[in-house]
Amino acid sequence: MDPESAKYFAKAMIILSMIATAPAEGYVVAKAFEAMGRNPEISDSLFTKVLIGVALVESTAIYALVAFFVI
Amino acid sequence: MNFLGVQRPIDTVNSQTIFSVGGFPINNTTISIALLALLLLFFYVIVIRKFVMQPGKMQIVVETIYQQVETFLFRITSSKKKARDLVPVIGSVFVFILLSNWLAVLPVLGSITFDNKSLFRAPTADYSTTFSLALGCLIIIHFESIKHFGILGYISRFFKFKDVYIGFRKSIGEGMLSIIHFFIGILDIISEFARLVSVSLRLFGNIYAAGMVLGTVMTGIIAYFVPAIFTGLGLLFGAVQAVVFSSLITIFYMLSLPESSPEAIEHEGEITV
Repeated sequence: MDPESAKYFAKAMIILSMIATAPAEGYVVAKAFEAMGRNPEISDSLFTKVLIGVALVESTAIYALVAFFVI
Repeated sequence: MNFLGVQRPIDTVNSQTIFSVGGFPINNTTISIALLALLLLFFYVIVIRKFVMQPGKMQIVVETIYQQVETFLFRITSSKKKARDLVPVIGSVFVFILLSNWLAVLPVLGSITFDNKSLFRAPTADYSTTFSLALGCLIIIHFESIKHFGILGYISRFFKFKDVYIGFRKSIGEGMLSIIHFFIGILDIISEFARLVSVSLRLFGNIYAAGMVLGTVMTGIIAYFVPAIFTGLGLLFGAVQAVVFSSLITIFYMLSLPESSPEAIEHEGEITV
């Protein structure tokens, strides 16, 4: 295998690591909405926490994206 | 299909050297950091010199930033004194990161070129900037930790010889447990470095990849109207990442102080002002 095609295989494998991010983000947001529905008065303070949580969950995909462009 | 798109080269991961002063390379990131810092300094000096009892528009902006940062820190630390102590560090880091994240979204800035290299580059879209920001913040945190624990107490947070001694004095079972705690303490040294890398890589990745490259890829496909949505998303991501960075630094600060555990902080965070 020549180096150029090996690089593309590596990129494809890196993209695979993003699979779990979407379900995880969905889970976080779904749980947050559940909590908001049960307890609407905390929704203001919950919203910022959910945004921070989603940003933290997303970081795996972001690492992968960085690796994708660095390779 | 191609007539809809505007082809643009993807920005390199490294920042590019524009010129050098006495052997010291001046990169495009350096130029924009200096520009941003000077602008912020001038803005604050001009506004703060004219502080009056009846605030004008600019004074309200500055006061709102201060108030919001202080309230935000109070929510995490749940102590007025600590919040007030942290405002200068966290507030300035927050404002700097927020503005430089929004600089990455600004479409005009990337088009100003000199010698075929972009003259300005958003500071946080360069790994050197985010790494040094995180390193500086963590050095401050460790100094504070040494100040609170003393040198010996600080070292014994990582090498728990005392716990092993006390554990074996009690019983064999306790002693075995304390050996596990000893190795966890050594692992904490690695986790300190992992924090540094993860915090800086998160900020860099978000701003570089999500901001600039997504913009480039989108304009390559459709250059009209659709990128506006991504620009708006970029503004949101920039604000969120600035909040995430500063809140993570605050949480690390709280974790490095005595009588604070993650559970306690999480619990205290529930208190609203």
